[in-house]
Amino acid sequence: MNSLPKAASVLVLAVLVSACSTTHFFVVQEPLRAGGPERASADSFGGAIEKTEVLECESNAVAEVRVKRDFFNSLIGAITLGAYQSTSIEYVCSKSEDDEVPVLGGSERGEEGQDGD
Amino acid sequence: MATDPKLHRRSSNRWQNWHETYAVDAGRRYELHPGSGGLSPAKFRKSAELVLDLIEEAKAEGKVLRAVGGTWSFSQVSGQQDAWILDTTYANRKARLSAGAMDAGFAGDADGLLLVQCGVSIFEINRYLEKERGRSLATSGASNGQTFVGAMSTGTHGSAIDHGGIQSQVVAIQLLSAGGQNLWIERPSKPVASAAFVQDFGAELRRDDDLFDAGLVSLGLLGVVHSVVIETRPIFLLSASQFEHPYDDRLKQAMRTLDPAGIDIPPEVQVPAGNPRPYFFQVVVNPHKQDTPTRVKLMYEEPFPATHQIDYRLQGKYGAGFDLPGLVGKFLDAVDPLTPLLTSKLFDMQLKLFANEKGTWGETFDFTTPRSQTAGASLAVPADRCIEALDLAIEAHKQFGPAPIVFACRFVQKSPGHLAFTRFEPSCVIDMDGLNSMNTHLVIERVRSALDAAGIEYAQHWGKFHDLTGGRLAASYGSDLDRFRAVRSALLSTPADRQTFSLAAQETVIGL
Repeated sequence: MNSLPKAASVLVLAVLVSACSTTHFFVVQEPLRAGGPERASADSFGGAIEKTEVLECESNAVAEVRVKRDFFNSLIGAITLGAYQSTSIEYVCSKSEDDEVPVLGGSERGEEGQDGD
Repeated sequence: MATDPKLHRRSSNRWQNWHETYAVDAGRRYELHPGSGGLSPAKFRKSAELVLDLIEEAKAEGKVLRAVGGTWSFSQVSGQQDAWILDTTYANRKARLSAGAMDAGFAGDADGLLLVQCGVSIFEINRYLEKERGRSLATSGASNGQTFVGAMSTGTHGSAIDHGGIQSQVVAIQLLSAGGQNLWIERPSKPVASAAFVQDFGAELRRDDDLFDAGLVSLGLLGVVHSVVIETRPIFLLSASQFEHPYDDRLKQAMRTLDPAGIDIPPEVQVPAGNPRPYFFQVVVNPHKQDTPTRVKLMYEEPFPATHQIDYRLQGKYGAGFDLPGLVGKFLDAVDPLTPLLTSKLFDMQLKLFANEKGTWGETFDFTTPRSQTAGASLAVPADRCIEALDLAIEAHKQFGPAPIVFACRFVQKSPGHLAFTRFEPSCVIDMDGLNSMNTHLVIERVRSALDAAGIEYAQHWGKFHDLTGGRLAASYGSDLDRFRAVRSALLSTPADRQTFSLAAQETVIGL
């Protein structure tokens, strides 16, 4: 019987937390993910302050972005009447594709054994 | 303008695996970039030199170097606290080999070979082979986000019943190791590349079965696998069906023998008249309701029709949030009476019934929506003991559960590699997949203990959760473990060399 209040409290907490959290997942149609998710800061103080966050992707390309806003972010935003907004951003870089897939090994057909496909 | 390969050092040392089961603060993080303008032997040499220099720098600094791929593994088999982590995923170049590249003793079809660099993902291989070459992988895991080399290095199994694990497609391995070793490794019985071709790559040709078998599933303990050559097969279609079947004697016999001909296959499932043996066979059991029918998945091979339009594109849809599986797992730890209900609902949602869905290999095993905070373990057992092992697993769940977990049985032939976990002829792999919760881990460990007590031989997937002890490792791999150790000692002759390619999570149990 002791488990009932515990269960109820966990259920309420879970519903509260999950109901007030949002996740948006943006992904290209055929993602070429490179590495794992990296985190970027996305805090802002008032609408007039904007910070440019430069994502560290050597390929200059992003495969996917996750945007998460949880219960506590939302609560703080509400308490500060929107002056402070915090969102968790995760991104995954994209790798580049082969320019061509060569056929290697025919040294008579090109420099260092390479020829085009 | 073409650019050369390069190493990029990332500003942040924080690293996390794909399924978010662990995170570490690395000593340094590097990325290996292939450069632009197409692959050439010169670029491959340059790329290898960068890695070899990094190996020596790590060794001089007394640091462990861990090469990582798609970071798909649940277990701590890739990134490591304080280690220098080399992200290989950008290094994704591919090449075909001409007949002129072949050794005189090569007996296969050079047109079916593909050289893939360490960062090439399963998806990239599928797309290139199927769309541009009219060819296909013969097997892979169930998802396409892993790098081929990463999946091979952990012995990923798949469920193609007449094939071994993913590494069974490899015919040559380029391994970069301590002391500037750039080795091109093949089997003496299956020579592939000519000495001149290997020399073009700046590598030393070694034809050695022991070294090859160690290199196939090496867990990064021998060095950095820079590239591999794989054998592909002509493109084909899979016709997939999933249906309910009672866990009865006929199904059990099919699971012991990898021959489902005797089970009740629904009439709507089209079984090829000339070839009734399926290409793929899987049985999923819901341990929460003993009377719930299993879900059987069969896939049959069909010719690839010229009219088939290959389409890998993701479709927008709602799914579980990234934190939801972990949240539900914790919730069920606290309120375990709800576990059977919720798990059974998930079982029905995830394993829908369908018949004769056609697709290429790459379309069938496509993008998996990232599932953070899920958990999984896989145990391979001899197929003739599959039912004993599965019944023990169900019983362990009954005694120590409930846990948000289901059992999926997949089947493969004995796979090459000293540390290949699908080491039985043939192997039944019991995948225990679920939400990452305390109860899940508890049940998985109880299943292992039950197999230990029953004296059933088994080995565990390196990339999934395992709790290997020295005793279990020796029992699983026996003399093959000694062979792997001997190769490693010969290759990495000094303590500093071995330290550079060590793995803390396994160090105590492998004793390397």
